[in-house]
Amino acid sequence: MACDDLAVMRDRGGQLRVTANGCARARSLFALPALPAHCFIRGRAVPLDAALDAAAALLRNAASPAVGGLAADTDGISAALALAERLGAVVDHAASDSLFHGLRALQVTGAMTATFGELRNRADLFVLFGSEFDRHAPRLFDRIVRPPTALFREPGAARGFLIGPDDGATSDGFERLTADLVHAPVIAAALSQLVAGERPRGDRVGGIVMEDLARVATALREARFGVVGWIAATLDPAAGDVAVESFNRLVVTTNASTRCAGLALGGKGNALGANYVCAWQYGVPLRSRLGAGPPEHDPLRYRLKSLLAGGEVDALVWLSALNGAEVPDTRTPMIVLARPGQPLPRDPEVLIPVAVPGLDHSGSIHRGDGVAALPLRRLRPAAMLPPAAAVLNGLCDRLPAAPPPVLIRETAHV
Amino acid sequence: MSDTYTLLRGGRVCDPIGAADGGDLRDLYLKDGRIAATPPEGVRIGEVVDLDGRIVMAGAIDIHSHIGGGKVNLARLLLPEEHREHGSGPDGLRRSGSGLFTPSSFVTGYRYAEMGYTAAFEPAMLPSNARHTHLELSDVPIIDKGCYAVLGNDDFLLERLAAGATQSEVNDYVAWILHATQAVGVKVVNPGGISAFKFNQRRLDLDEAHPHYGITPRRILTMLATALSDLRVPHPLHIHCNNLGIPGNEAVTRDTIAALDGLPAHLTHLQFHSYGTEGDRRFSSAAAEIAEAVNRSPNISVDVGQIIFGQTITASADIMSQFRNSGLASPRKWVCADIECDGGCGLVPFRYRDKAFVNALQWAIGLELFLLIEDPWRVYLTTDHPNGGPFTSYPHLIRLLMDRSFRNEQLARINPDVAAHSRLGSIGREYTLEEIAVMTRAGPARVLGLRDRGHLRPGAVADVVVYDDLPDREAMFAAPAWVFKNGRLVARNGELAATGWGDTIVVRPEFDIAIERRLKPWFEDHQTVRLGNFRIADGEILDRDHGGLSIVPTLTASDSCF
Repeated sequence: MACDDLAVMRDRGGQLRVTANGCARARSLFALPALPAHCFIRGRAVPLDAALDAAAALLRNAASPAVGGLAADTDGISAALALAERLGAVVDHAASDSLFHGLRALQVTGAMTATFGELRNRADLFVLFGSEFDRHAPRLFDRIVRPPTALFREPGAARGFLIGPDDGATSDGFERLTADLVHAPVIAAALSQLVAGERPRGDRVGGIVMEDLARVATALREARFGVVGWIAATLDPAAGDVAVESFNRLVVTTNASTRCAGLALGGKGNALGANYVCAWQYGVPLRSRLGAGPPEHDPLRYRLKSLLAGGEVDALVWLSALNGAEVPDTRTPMIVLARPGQPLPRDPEVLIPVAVPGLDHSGSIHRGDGVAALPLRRLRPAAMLPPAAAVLNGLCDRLPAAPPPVLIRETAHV
Repeated sequence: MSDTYTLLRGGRVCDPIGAADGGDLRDLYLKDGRIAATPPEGVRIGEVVDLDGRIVMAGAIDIHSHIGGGKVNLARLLLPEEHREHGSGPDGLRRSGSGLFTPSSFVTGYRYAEMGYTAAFEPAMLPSNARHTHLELSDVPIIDKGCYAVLGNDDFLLERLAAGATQSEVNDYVAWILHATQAVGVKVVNPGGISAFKFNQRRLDLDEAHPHYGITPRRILTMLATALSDLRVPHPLHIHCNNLGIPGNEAVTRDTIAALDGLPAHLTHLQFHSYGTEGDRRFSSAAAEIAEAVNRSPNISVDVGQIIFGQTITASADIMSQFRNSGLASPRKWVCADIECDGGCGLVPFRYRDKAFVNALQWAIGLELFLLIEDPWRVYLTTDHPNGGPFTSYPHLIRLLMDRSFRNEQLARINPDVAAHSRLGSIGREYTLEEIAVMTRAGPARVLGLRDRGHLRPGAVADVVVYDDLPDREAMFAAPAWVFKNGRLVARNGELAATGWGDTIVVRPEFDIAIERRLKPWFEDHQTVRLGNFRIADGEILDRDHGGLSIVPTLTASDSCF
């Protein structure tokens, strides 16, 4: 979610600790040690300049490079995209599968949503698809579903339904409807029909009995402001976009008579921010090839995980300054820019440690609902490592400048 | 600082503020990024550009153009097809980018500069989205930019108004928002209506009570307009009226002008608010009535929001209107979002078709407004980019205004019912070059309080555009011969020549910081961002090294505002 209400203390040893309002993810990030760290070329410690020279040599000869990970602040992402533009590289985020469930649905049908702040004050019904809410959206319930105060509803009285596999977790006022999330699209479609006053055929949909679904539909119709939410990472990996389209249709149908909004949950490593920066700078989302002519976006062809699995990348730059971007286990020659302590499945060709945004330097990231960008501040005075943006700019400077001019395509609007 | 001058020799300077009407040949000196007085004999002239009698104007200023921020970026994501069709690779000078009506940030700056525009104002920055908006705009090269913070549907203000807040408390809050969000003005969008939609109300008239707070749009409007006037902020309240796009909305537009009762205000994209209900289709032009109301009200300035036929996307904070119009989406996909107890966002792609009665009438209404509003100092050239069409269609629009025979040729092509009944064909007015210079430079600069932009007197920022005086005004304004930004050549014959970064323009009226005592608990109890993180520090803009901050002075007692 990218919460901005953490209380962070520094202990006598200079170590930062989250003392209030954090989740496990935040606690582990803030507890990272501020270590001096070396650069490495195939496991051998070298100075930064030598590492950059080696990285540039590797990239100069690449025919199909890629820039991935992208778990960084706005400036780190910008520098990574500029490097990709210089290289003609494909760009993608480590956690983009979840992101693209929503994005592909957006590209096809649009969306009707609300932000955290709106929902915390207003939402009186939550229909949530997913499982392991504690793991994927650790502070959903304490910040949004049951906040300490709310402007337009009883803050403690929110009720709702959890639709998904039974993981044992429950919450007051919430009823579980057990189903395999592969069936989420048909369940949501049936709910749309019920909300619209139609009666779907059959006694069960996706394993849920029709009477239970009818109660959900009635609740949505009777709510003043309902929410249809989902943990994107728990949807069917092959058809998450179809599920999100179906959720969106349910939201739009419900809005014919009352208010309702969609809410995508989950996301990590500033994936949303990386996608936004790419969109505003290039006009296209991630999973695009930059710099080899006009930006070329293809959500299927340029999925980095698939490209790596198919051996279609010959040089990979991986950026992991925040957590949330596990370094892929691949034999593709790789240049890794990572925060200290980042687990590495194998020694990359070049490893360059970088500072952690929000601990070692200031910057900005995007919150999970996309509207609010949050400032990051420097909390550790003695930063020993360079910010990712500085390393990436240094790398860019070592590479030949842009390819021959490509004219801006003539366009006429009238 | 350099000690050399650039001399632009022998241009026909068209500078309404500098009282030059483009008649006589004049020399213009640029030094250190500013227009300089004629230097004494014998000083070193670094570069001489012979203008050979070409037309010279100050850099153009777009007072209302949605060029960045959360909703523009969502629009880009909604329409990959637009970006697939209109893309460009890097060429050693330009960064790569894409898009036509939602161009990417770099492309936005290049295209404006190539057209002779040197400043553009993003009119709908939600305070909760301000940091994102500034991050985006800091990646728009060359041009100066500024933002209007959107107020009037934010629950803090509505609750305080319902609780009987004094004008002085509202003033302090407005000033605090201007500082905290690094804005240069305040826009109100469908006052009260966006919030009412969150309570499931689908329409709100000027004197209709808000379903929760009980206050009326009239009260929100007048309190905000008064606040900006009291604070001596140069740009008066920027108003997107209630009931956008609804036939018959001309009444609420005229009532809004009346409600302001002489307070300065800017009514934006007036075309979308000038609809009557006459005729078989209950949809007619009320341009004459609205133009007359504007002509009679010297406190009011407007921009038109002309529509241009073709594909675009409508992007607005007015989710109430956008949800109502979502069935018209073409292609059939759209976005609506309720945002942060602050505002909303609605994106509806749209294709304006010249043969469609409604679109043709909208086109005619926009042109009628331009031509029937008499004072070019109070009507500015906009398409409400991208809502009426992309800003790249401005040269076409200028030709429509300057060339009656061209206009009538276009009129003959549109829906025949509109062509037959519109008064447009009978309007003989043709804008002069000087009037174009007023409506695209001097006028917007004055209404924004930009004292050193929009004119070419000594001391002005050296944003200078040189045009070939072509009979085809569209060709003339599409590709100026030279464009200088801060004294540097940035475009030649409509092609980018150099790039760089412009300023972010802000205003900082004085206020009582005690308002934070009320705001801090509001943020902690009801928002999801703390006050300290909401506020944008100067360093967040300056440290990216993408241009500086330029502070517009507040008005003093001796300034006339209209």
